[in-house]
Amino acid sequence: MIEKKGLSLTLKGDCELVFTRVFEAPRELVYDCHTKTELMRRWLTGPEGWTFAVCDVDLKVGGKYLYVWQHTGRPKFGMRGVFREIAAPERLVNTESFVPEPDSLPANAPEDPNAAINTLVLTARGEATLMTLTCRYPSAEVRKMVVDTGMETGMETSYARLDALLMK
Amino acid sequence: MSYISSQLDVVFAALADPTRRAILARLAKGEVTVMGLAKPFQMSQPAISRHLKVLQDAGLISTTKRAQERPRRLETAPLKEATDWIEKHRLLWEGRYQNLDALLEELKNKKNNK
Repeated sequence: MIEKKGLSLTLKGDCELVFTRVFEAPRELVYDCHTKTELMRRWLTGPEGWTFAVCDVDLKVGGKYLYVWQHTGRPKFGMRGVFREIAAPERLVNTESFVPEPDSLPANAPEDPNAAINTLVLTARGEATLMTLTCRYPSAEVRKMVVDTGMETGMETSYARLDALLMK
Repeated sequence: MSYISSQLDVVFAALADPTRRAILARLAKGEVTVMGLAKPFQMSQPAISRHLKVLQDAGLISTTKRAQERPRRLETAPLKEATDWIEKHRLLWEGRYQNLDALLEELKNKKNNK
């Protein structure tokens, strides 16, 4: 297999999405960027115009995390989940589900039964790092819904760019 | 739900099965009859026919009517639509990872300058 620098995305079976990508950095750094909030805030940005408002991470097995993005005049959205396996700097397993109204999410909210299970594996390739992120959804329908939501967010980016262009 | 997205669901479901992907790979080389597929795949004709029906419902193959043996033919349009859809989603995430590339570069430089 030829590894390109860009992201490769494949659908595996009915329920999984697999992202692979090579980063030109040692895996300790790539791992830090996925787990340290001050670093995550720098790159895990939403579409243009959105800010990464909340990045709460309790990095321990059974610990929860919550990310919230916001935009003036638009409803906030977030992602939340629980860490299941932590093995720095090579493996991180957590659940993940979409939070449509982060402000009304109770602090003790139970785990979403439709949560995905994300497995991040980092493999050292000399000075570089191969990332394999497998997202397993409970059903093909949920996978489709998640991908469509991502597509809408992508569309939002396009519209924001169009807005900027039209302002000129 | 739009027609296009529900049709894509059918295409992805059809592509999820390894036997059906192998059948498409075979058809990419040219038209084949059910008999012609049953032998190399070591499957009964009804079993092959069931797979072919799923592929045909997804629009991934068609039946050539002119010959009596009704060979099956690969249709590339739905495959292209499916790969285009994946590509759009990939580009969205690639944008985020390019942010990460820039951050990693900065972190590496910091480390080296210490």
